[in-house]
Amino acid sequence: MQYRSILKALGVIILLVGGCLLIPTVYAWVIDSSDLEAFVLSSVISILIGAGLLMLPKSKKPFKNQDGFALVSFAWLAAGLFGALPFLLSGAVPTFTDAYFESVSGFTTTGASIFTVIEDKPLPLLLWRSMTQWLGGMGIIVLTIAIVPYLDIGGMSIFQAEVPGPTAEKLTPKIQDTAKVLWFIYFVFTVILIGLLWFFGMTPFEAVNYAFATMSTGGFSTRNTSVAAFNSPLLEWIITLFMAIAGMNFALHFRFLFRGFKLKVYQQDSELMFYLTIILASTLGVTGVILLQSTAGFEPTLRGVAFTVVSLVTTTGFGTADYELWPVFGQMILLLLMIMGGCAGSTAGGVKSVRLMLVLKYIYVEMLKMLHPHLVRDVKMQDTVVERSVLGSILSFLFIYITVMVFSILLVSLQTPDMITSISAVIACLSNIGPGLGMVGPTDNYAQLHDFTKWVLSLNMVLGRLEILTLLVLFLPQSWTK
Amino acid sequence: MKIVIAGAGEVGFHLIERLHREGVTLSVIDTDKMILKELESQFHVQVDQSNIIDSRFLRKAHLKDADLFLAITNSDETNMIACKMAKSAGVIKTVCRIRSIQLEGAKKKASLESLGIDHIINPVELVADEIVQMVMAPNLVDRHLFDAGRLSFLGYKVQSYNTFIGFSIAEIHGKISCMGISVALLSRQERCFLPTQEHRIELADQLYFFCPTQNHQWLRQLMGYTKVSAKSKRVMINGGGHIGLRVARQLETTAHQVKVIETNETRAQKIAARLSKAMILQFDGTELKKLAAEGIDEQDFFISVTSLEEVNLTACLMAKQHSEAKAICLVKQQELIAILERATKIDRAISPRITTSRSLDRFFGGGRIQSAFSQGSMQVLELKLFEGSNWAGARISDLDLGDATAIGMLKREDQYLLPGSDTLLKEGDLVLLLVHRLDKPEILKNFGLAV
Repeated sequence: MQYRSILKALGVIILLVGGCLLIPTVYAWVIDSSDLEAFVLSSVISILIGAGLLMLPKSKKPFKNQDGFALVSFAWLAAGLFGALPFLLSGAVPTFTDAYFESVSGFTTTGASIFTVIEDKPLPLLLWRSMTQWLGGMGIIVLTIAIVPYLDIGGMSIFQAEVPGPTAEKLTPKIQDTAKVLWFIYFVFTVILIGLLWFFGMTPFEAVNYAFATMSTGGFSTRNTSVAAFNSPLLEWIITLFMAIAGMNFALHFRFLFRGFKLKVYQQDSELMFYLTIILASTLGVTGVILLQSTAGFEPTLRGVAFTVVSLVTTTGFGTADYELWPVFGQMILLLLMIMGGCAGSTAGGVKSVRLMLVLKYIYVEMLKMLHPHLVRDVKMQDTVVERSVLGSILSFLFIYITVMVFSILLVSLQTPDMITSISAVIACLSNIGPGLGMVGPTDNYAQLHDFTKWVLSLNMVLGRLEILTLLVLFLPQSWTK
Repeated sequence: MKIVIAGAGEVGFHLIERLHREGVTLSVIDTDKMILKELESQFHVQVDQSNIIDSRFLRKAHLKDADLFLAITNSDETNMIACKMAKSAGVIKTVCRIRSIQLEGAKKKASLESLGIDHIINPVELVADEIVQMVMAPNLVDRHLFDAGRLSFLGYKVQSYNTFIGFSIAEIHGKISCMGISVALLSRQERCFLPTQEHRIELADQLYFFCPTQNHQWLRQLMGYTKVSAKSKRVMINGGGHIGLRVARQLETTAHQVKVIETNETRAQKIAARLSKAMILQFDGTELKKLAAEGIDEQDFFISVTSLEEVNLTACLMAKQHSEAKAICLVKQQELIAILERATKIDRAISPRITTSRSLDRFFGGGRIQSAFSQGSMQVLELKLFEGSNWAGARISDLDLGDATAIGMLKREDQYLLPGSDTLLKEGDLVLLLVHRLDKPEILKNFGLAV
């Protein structure tokens, strides 16, 4: 393990977090907010430590695969740590556990909060909360690669370690260009969304916060009642649309925007079609069940269900409706969608649609082989064969996902009174969603959970964001050999 | 006419055998001394043992004034380079055999021209198309398109429910001449001939028509066949080689259910990657138990197209024994076609050599033959009456055509005419000539074409 190289690279990332902290600092200074001191202190600490690490002499030893995984894992843990400084220093959050939970929840775009009341917090702090999500959405490593060529040392492996999905796609020959183009698309969508939200009734401050939380599929909000607070059907539909866009593979957006605006790009992608079909089917199914059992109006129900389904499948976690009041069938559907998540290469979490789709195809082929023992057939996606090794890694990913989930539920259940809460809290954190069911439902928060539970869930969020194996590989003894 | 053939493989051998009888000057180039020796002893050909892709090849004397260069070695790349070199050496027309499906995209005219290739023939494509045709319309035994697809030459096998059974040719003509259709040839007991007005149709005859393509459906219905059925058929293909793959690819785009059997595991995986709906099964296609387990008894068609003749035969015979499926068998030797179709239950036999050399026929007329087709000893030639032809301005009865030659169809100013004995031929007419193979040089000379 190349500790010196890793620390040096970590310095770059901490410096970047420090640099980003300057934005709310300036905002606090402009509006003369109470937390100005805390922000100044946080930025100074981050920048000094980051610069200090960067000063380390350069190591001549080669950067290995395990160093890449270690770098990515520690980068996320460190970002959570330094991002937590303003929460702690401003006194808005009483304990370090809570501050770290809130910060990690932001960077991993989970959106699980320990704030019981949001509106009384200083505005720069809320802005920083949304910013952590926006930075984490496309990925801090990808951002660093885009800005500083320094991180090129890890090459494709560290890029792959952060970008979600079974295989990371290189859109351009150079990784740095790929990272730049991904961030550019992400930025453009965010700007468009800010404009729309502002135009249709939000204040500029809220528009920025909600756009950050939507495009990163994070789900932090500036109001206690989340998006429902605006009471505007139009805003809800806009946010639904943009959550769905953020949950799509950004490689598709790239091909659409940079390769001649052909809609075919989207139509021909089988993962996207699978994802949209699931969204449509769940929305219609749940709407139908609700309408059968109550006298609610059609449009408000459809809107509420569509919003919630998209919000949970893209792992955003915004709320307009209290889905705990829905029939149990609807809640079960939501729980399953939470595990599925969005598309590979998006800002969403979960196990990703493509993995689920390929596993279903794999099961179909296996069953067909039982009927025809001599059948030769591979799993295909868009007419190309999916390699066995990819399928193998998907299957092992699903298994490890469930294993981590079960073990986390066990750990959480030590200090949590009911089963629904334990199960849904773990799923909501591992899939980077935020709200779950029971004590952590859409109208509640994570504040009253035990400290130990919060640490387990924080770890779950990072595991979920880095798709488990990146972090888990560090527990292999081989990763630590010199 | 001077023809240079590069590659004396199976197709080449068969071609030489046919051509040397028609009195053309043949040169054959190959690297294999033994084959050339054999050729030289059997036929009147000039042989040349040399490497085609050698720069010295360019200066070969026999290329300078050749009318036609056929590159039919087993290697696509060699053929392409040979065509390019022959063209620059001064050959008038080049024909290149390309088998690989990947090269199909290069079919575009410009890219072919830059390679010095005038025409492409693809045996795999020809055979596969013929098989697909058999599956889509099983009663139609032959089909060739003349006049850029506007005129079809159709061969029907007379089944028991055919309404023409017992009718004389004169009676049939009375029914179909109003639609511009005419009876061209009759094939009975392996003999193909020009029918007279008195011939009566019998069961198991093969009846050939000239039919404007748009009236094909009308003719089918008149004979008592229903419309080409869109019903999904079950097709089992033994052998996933080039031909099998191509047939499967074409059939899987229709409603048919296709199963492909391939022995070789690597090949099976390769074709599985390229086919989407078809089911690929990896076992030996002559293993009866496995065939039965995969439902051989439910198949509508069993097509055996492995590269081994004996495997195809065995598989087809077994399929016939255990199912009602129509069996199509790929064979190499021409003689086997007749034997199989007569002496066994196998419904159709097809040989790539015959199909390929048939499709080459049209190149042997010095550019005046627009298209050609042969059935048995009879050939159908599409000729354009050019200025200065001996026939322009002549009455058909005045032409010395003999018994075995006739003009089957005429096209004048976009109208198809059924020619009578007193029809006057004009310059610019398109003539479809039915001619016996042995009379062909004589007739063509008469027409004004030097062979």
